[in-house]
Amino acid sequence: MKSNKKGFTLIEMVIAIGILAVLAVGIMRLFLTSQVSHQKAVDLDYAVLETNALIERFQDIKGSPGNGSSFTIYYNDKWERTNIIESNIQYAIYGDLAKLSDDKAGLLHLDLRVVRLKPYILEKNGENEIYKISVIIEDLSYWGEDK
Amino acid sequence: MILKLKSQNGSSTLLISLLLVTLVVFALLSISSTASELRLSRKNAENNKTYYMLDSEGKRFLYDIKSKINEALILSRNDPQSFFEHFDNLLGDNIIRTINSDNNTRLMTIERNIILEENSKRRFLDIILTINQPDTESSVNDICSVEEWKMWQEPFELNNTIDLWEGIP
Repeated sequence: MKSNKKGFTLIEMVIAIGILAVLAVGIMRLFLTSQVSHQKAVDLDYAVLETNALIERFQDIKGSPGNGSSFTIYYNDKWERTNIIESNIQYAIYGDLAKLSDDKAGLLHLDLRVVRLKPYILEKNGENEIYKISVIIEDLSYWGEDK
Repeated sequence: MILKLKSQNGSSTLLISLLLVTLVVFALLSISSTASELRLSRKNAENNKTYYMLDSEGKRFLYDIKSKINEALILSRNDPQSFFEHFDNLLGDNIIRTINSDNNTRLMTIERNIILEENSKRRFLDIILTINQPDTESSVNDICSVEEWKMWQEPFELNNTIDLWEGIP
């Protein structure tokens, strides 16, 4: 007995699944782009907060903050401070502190650079610079004695 | 009269199409929302940079004043009463200052406004310093104090040029 019900052929199924897969990939990329933008915004906000905290801390040092020194601070994926031994390091702040010039010995130049060490989704760059700032800091101990 | 679809052919295609359209709409809304979030974060970061740029200019000015105070202190080491004469000469004509005398003590006030124009917006830093009469043992930080270190932005001005009806017939 011959059945009246017609099914899909294999080729029809393959074409349908192919079209759906292409569309699904396109839609996924849209959501991932949105996720990356959100992550960049969050990173930038945290970078600004952390650099501000560092600048204010340097500005409040009563003694000499030091001249010609460099430092690196590491953070994990939740922007919590971590050390170099930890494996989940995701962000780093590189800092350089140097005398502004010889005739302005009481002023220091602080350069801060915030970097994301792992690439964002859909991006290939290994290191992404998130934020960079240069400020002048007063050495509060400089005028403490006769110059 | 209620019309009923007799055939269900194509209904699955219709459902899938609607699902895809919904997903695309939500994805675009999400992108638009996060793009504005990123724009806001960038603006905040730029504002922050401008703030510290102005603050750094203020620090340079303060340092220049303190250097001149130090020079004047050295010149007037044996005669502290002559400090303000030396200091006044060292400051030159460009710096706005006033000297108040009260009995034997004198007090100098220095004012400075630093203006920074960026993206057609002006930001200001108002600095007021006071310098007290030194004695033989005074150091720079003993006599110089920052009275005001105020940062502000050009206020929003109400556009009152629009010709509005005042209710008079």
